[in-house]
Amino acid sequence: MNKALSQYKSSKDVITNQECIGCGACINICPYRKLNYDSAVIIFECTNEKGKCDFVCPKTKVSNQFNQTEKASPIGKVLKIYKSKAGTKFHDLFAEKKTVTALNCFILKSQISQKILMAKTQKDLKTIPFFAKTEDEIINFSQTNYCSSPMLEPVNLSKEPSYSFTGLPCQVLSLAKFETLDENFTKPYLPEIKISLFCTWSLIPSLYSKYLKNKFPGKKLIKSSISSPNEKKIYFEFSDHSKSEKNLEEIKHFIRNGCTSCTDLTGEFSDISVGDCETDPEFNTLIIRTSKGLDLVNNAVKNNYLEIFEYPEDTKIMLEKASVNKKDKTFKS
Amino acid sequence: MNSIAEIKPNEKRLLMGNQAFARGIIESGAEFASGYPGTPSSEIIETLALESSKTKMYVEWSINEKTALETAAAASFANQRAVCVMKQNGVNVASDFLLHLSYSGTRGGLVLIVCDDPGALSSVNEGESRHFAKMLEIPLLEPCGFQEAKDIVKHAFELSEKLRTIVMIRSLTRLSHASGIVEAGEIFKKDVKPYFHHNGFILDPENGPVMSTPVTYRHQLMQKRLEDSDIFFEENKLNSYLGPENPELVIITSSVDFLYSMEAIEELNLFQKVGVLKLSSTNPLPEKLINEVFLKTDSILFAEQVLPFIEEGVKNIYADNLSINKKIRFYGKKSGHIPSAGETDSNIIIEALNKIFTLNYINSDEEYDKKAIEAAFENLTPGREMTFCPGCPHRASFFHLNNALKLDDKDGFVCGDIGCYTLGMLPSGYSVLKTIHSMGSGTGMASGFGVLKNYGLNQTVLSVCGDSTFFHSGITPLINAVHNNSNMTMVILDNSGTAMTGFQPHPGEKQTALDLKGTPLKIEEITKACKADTFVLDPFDFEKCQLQIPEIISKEGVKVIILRHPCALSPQRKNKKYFEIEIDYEKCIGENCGCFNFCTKIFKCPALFLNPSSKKPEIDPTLCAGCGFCADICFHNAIKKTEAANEL
Repeated sequence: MNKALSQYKSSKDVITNQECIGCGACINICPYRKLNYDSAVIIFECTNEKGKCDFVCPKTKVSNQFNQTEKASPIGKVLKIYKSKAGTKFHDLFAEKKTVTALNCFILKSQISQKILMAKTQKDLKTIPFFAKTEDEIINFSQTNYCSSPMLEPVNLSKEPSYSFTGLPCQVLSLAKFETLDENFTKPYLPEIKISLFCTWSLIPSLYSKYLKNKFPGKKLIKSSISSPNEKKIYFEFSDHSKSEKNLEEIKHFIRNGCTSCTDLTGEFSDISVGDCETDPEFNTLIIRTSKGLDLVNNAVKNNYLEIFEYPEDTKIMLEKASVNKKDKTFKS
Repeated sequence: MNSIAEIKPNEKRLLMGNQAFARGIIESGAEFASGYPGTPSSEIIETLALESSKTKMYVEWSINEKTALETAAAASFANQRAVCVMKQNGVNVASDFLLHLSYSGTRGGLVLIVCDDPGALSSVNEGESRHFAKMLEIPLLEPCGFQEAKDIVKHAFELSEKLRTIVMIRSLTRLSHASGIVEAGEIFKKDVKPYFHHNGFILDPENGPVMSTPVTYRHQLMQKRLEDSDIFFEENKLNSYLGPENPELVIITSSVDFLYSMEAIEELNLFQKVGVLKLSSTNPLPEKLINEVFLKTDSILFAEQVLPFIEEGVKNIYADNLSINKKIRFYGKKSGHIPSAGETDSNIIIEALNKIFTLNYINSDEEYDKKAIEAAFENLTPGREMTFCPGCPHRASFFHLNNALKLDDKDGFVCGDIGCYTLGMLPSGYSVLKTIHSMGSGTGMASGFGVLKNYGLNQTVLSVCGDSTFFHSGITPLINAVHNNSNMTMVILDNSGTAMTGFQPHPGEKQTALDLKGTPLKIEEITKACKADTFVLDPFDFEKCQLQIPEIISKEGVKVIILRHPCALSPQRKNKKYFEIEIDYEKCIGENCGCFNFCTKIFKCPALFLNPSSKKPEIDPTLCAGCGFCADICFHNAIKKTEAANEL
């Protein structure tokens, strides 16, 4: 049976089959499990058959937790879809599209949340979950390095409300599963707004950082980007302003096992999902899935934090195709 | 305890087998005693050390058994009476020297007492030392009771001096650790000043140098000595026949099996049919006596532990006896009447006699056995797996090692060694030990696994080693690992003493067998001198160990982690609590998800138990040693520790 359809019964099976994507959802629940950065590890065997870890793991079966009756589109539920980029407020600060940065800044500004749980890249190239409390922090740390970090590690410890979340589709799926936890389990405070980034795969952090250290000894990476999937190259920018590139194929060795069994390109369980816009590199694709998300975007536009434009129909078809492709690939593997 | 040295001649005392040996050594006027602790042998040296102020005997806990025998041999060469004591594994360690010593011969009486452990009650093998006596061609004595345990020592010294060879005495757990009535004898005092004469002719046994060469000459000498020992045994009536003149069967036996045999004969009331040949000297076997037995009977049963040592010897004598022309039926290990693995007891001999004589004797109550088995399976009896004591630093150490290996996620493992920490192979040590062999072998194997890294082995390799084991045989493999660029971490579980055998001192301490004037050697100074990256941690320092050990084991090269904390039963910790422990039941979530009774199910300190009705843990204040580690491992901070006020 194929991995995506079978979906594991327990998160322990996920770990032992090396499908863990290291999101951290099962960490800080109990003393049986810890994170070794790349993945969750079982320190002691637990014989509890119905653990919280099994419910919230994005790789375990999604049973009757979600009552989705609406007709599903290949990119999930869509209230609105736009082309977007950061608004005029940011034009002096940066030139990039940076929709997510703009939205997160607006979340703080409008006091929807006091802080944003987002990824921060450390000196050793590892990314860690980080609560950004100021616009500066949001702007400074908003760089991707194509590694997934244990973004949900702080969730089980969250003792106070008022935070929003930016992360990957799998992490957002886990948060959606957290919301459906029944009274048998302690439900932590969950984020008000969940923003998902589009994701086709992510890399195993320790292997990838080892590779980069090997290839670029002594250099400090500040930015990496894959401009277009067709180009099959990854570009690096270093702190000494030097640049370099590598074939994407080289990097793909470090893709997580768990990513090959993922069917979610666009973060279907988010309030808002953001990715590149295939036909216009100057813009992001912005999918609004919930009324909460819709309010946020509308207010952000009103306050010049965000600019939105009509989404071209042919681009939407391309995006749907890409999403179907990912699902197909997984089902066929 | 009353002094063993001060028992008056002809006074009768209840003595433990090992105390009887000690009294025998004192009565023989031995001037020198050395040994390495090991159950069931340790009490002999301990008793001698305790009595040393009265006996003026030099007593030493040596670094290992080989060195112990070497020091005792030196005393013998200086014309002193010397004894060396060890358990069966020790003879393996000492055997290299022993082989040469049996060639070179001795001067002052030199006696080696070895305590074997059939059934491995406190060992990881049930190897037999008797075969060494045969291989090394030295006399072997096996006392058949408590009085004889004392008496035989004197014979051993006399024989050693007469033949100028080391004499071996073999005891068993059930002789060394059981007690019986012993009548004391006179204490012999020779009072010879130690002096090593070495300027004589090379073949002069009294004044020449002492060595194993010329080999063939000395080997022949050795074999001649063995022949002479037979005469000595006969003169001193060490072996005797008891029973009817023409028995239907004779049991040939030695050591505690003699006692078991007598019990079996009594139980089955076979006095009229069965005789016993009691052998207290089993190498060489008393040929004359054995040939006499062949004339008395047609059937022989061998009762001995563990392998057919006497059995094979007697069969050899039978084969060599040209005058005998009758068929003798032999029963024993080969015939399957007595098992050749594990301990024997009187029941086993009763069973054998029952079979031979077809007596239909019912040895056990079947109904009772059935009920006992049922009770065990229905959980009417509590599970009692072997575990560490409450407050044991090893439990904390293994908790950290398991954590580090699992976080490391490379299917790493620990090569185990000999000590209390051998229990690390069981759930109480989180089952992290994956190999267990002889002392020091864990680090030797880790050194080997570690060099395989260059050939593709990508697992993390650790070894554990106790502090006493480190001195005994842990330093050599560490140096081997460093020199050969191995990749491994040696974890030294330093609990400040040879804890498993009862806190005998080791070279890391000021304490010696006699006084506090020893020169202590710091383990970390030795490992650093061996160029191993060395870290010293306290296993009860939870945060530090959880953080640092994973980092250390992932480093390249040879690392040493010394996890140092005195044993919970050690004199410095006994009856002293660091903390009073209390459970906050508001915070304890018991069997709910998030804990699932982690402290009682996984951590498993015997002082924590699950209350079956509340399904929550409780602390047994009598058992709790107050180490406070459970408070650190409780994920929900439900176990509280507060500093204890110790009243001493």
